[in-house]
Amino acid sequence: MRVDRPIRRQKPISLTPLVDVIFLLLLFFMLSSTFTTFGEIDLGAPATGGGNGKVPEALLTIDGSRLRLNGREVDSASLEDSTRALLERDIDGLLILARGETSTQQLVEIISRLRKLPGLKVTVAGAQ
Amino acid sequence: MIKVARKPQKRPLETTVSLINIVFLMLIFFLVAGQLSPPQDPEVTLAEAEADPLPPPHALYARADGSLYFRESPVTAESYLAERKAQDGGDGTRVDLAADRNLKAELLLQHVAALYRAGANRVVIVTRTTGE
Repeated sequence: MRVDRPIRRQKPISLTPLVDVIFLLLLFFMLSSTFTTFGEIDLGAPATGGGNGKVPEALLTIDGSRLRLNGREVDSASLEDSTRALLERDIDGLLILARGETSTQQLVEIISRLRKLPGLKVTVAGAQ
Repeated sequence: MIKVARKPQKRPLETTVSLINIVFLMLIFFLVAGQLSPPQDPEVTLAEAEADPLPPPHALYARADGSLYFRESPVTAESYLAERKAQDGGDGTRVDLAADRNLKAELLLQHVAALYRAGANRVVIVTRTTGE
């Protein structure tokens, strides 16, 4: 006699382990990822003692929030304009000198603003 | 009056499917939008400036008081470079220097000079880019 096997109902797959794993992945990526975007500013290699480098023709002194371009006091907002005026007179080498209480933020900001001007070579005077 | 015990109502099993949907969405968001980053020094707030983009760096940190830290332990420029040289065996050493925004520029330049003296080929200041 043939006995029909009872038709097995397939149970739905349990979702709990799946959720566990996804939660773990989510936690990992939440904790180890960053949304900060970083940038890099090259300060340039220090001048060697050879003296074959081009001599910078203009000098920008940063002292806190005070800026002096070739000895003349410059407003921070008009820095680009004054530098462009120098460029028009074919002065394209600028040396930045940080003095006194200047913070990294101030120095970095000035460098990044000046690097955006085309044709200008910006160097930073290193420490002795 | 006879009190008839009411049968406790059976709550329907909450569907986990909607939960999974949301968690999946969050997972995909973090996968796509975030960038894996090496641990950062919590003491250091980077300076803000627009600059060339840089992937999250494994940086040497310069705190506001002028001390250098790598992986949360104090180092000097010489010992850091010596360790780097021992690791990847020599030249082409590029140093990502993440300086605090309140660090004095003089100290920063001293660190940079010390790193070049210790044998770094290129020293780059790490900043936080704003906007966009």
